[in-house]
Amino acid sequence: MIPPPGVIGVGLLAVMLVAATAALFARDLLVAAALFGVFSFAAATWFALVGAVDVAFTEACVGGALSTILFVSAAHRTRRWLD
Amino acid sequence: MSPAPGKTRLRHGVPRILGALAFAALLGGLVAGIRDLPRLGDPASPAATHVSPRFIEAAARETGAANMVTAVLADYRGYDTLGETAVIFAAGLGCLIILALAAADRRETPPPGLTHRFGSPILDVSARVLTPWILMFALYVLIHGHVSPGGGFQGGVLFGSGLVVVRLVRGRRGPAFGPGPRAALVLACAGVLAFLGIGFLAMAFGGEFLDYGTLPLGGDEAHVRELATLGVEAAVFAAVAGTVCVLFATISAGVRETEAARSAGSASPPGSDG
Repeated sequence: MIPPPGVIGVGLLAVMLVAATAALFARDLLVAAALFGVFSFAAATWFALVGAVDVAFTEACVGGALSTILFVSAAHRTRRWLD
Repeated sequence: MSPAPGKTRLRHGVPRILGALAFAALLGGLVAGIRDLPRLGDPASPAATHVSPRFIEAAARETGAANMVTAVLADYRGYDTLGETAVIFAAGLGCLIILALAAADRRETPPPGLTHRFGSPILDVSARVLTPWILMFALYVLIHGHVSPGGGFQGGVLFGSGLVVVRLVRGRRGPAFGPGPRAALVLACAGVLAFLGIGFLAMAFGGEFLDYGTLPLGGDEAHVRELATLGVEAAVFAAVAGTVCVLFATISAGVRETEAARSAGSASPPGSDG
């Protein structure tokens, strides 16, 4: 069985929840992209914490770095602000 | 986020409630299906009693890879990884086709007010300092995937991101860094084809498809498998890195023209200097 998450785990899950919700409501697309990056790195740390190191590495690369870069480059081509 | 009325309605008069109902039904089905899965981490589940012990016991001896995840991904389940690589490549192609078509629809030149790069000295210097290390770390991740977390996929993503980040910061007026869109597409194709080619080579030397043990690389079978795994990881690396570059090139070239044309008429709100 998976052990209970512990203080750090609960903190990371809370960060993920808050970052994901805040990204939904951010009016600045760059802020939303950055918040999504925060979510990804928290998720990666959480994966590493429960022992899935390869998954954590992939999440950090793809979610934290690549997706954020692509979101930023897409937001960069818009007017950046939601009306 | 409260979108303006009229923007959220789907075309052709499809009520949003239908979409919500379909979503709820799908979600309900998936949640109901969870009950039939073995519990997470259950030591009595079939995967834990039959599959995992076999890999844990034999992976290092049979494939020469201390990192069991690499052994499973590239060797035991090489077929899955081939499929995933092809899916990523296909996704890149889909993005290329859709965005290139969208760009072809609107060929207006972007208004002169938009700058197409981030113009901060901090970003510029950070990119200059960090990029060589990112690229080198990507190669390390690829080569060292046998013994530490990582492999071709993560290395390829890192390498592509390292190339793309320079373009993002420096913009089009900066120096051309890394492969252009066409070269990146060729690189991605070559990666997928090399993966397939290694699989067929194994067949040509009397083994099964993607069963590397028969390849004439010298040494014992574990060593041969180790080398072949590295070759496969390099192929995945090329495919992923190329796809990343293609994705960025299509986003920065295709969407820019459409979005710029769309927003040409309306003034930017205060504070949007990006």
